[in-house]
Amino acid sequence: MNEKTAKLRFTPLDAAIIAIILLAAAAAVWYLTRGAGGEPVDLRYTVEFAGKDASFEGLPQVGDTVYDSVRGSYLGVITDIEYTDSLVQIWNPEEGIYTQEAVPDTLNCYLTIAADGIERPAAAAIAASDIEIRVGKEMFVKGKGYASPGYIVWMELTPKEAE
Amino acid sequence: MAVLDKKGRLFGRLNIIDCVAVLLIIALAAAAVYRFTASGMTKNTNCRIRYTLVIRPVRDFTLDFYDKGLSVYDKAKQEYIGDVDGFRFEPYELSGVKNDGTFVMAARPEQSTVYLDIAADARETDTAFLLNGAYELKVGSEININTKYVDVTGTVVSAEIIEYK
Repeated sequence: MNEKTAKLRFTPLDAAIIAIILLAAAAAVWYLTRGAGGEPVDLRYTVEFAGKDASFEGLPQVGDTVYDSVRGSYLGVITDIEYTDSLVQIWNPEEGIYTQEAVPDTLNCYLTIAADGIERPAAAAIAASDIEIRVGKEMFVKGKGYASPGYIVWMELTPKEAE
Repeated sequence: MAVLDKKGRLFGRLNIIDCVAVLLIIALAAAAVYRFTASGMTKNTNCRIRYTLVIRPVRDFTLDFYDKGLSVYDKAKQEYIGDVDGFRFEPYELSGVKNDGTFVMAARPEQSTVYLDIAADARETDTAFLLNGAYELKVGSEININTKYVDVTGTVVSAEIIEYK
């Protein structure tokens, strides 16, 4: 191959293709890093397991570390557990009202979970797993010997004390 | 001269692969311009709108997490769609038939209906309000929204222009 043919040739089409590749790379970097940063906070949230069999009581323990049962991501440590009757709403055709009645042998379990969090303008997330926490979000929680889906019903962010 | 020679060049000059690539880029650019400028529309006006999302049923103990000023995002599209401009709560009611055969509306215990007013900059076109240039907001559509504190699904029940820009 002589020197003339070996010379690097660069056409407008090559420039367009390189520009598209650079744009795609920039978009990928933006997408993957858009959630980065934020202020460290203590994050506490409560997940409701509704309509569990009465035998569920006693399985979760304060101090258990819990994980996302789908992805295996860290969710935090249980700091409080409450149980209530599991209620259903029933139509009373005589009086024309809805009432709440307890379902026999079932209960609702409320796990309050604490984790180091990151607070951002639009979201708060668990620092270790970047899972965003919002009231109404469905979570899939597993601990040692138990697992259940549930919805977040409460959350609290507390700024970390300066060390 | 043949249209396509043995080397795959059109009229002996242009490579057919290059031609296809150029046409593809031009088509993508044209589609993007059409999508983001709403060309072809006779109405294309910048404005500020207020729209209302109805969210129901909402558990009463979660009502504290709705607040004015929070930014609202479409969860599926991860797109900013305005700020909470106001909100109000009502008992969540469903119809029922009494023993005497009459229909009545009755409140469900510990559940509410949330009306969330959201303000956003928009572009008014013939067919929709466009948020961020391309997000179509339509009354009747269902949106899964996120704020900093809640993750819920609501239905757009009204949208009005509050200011032309």
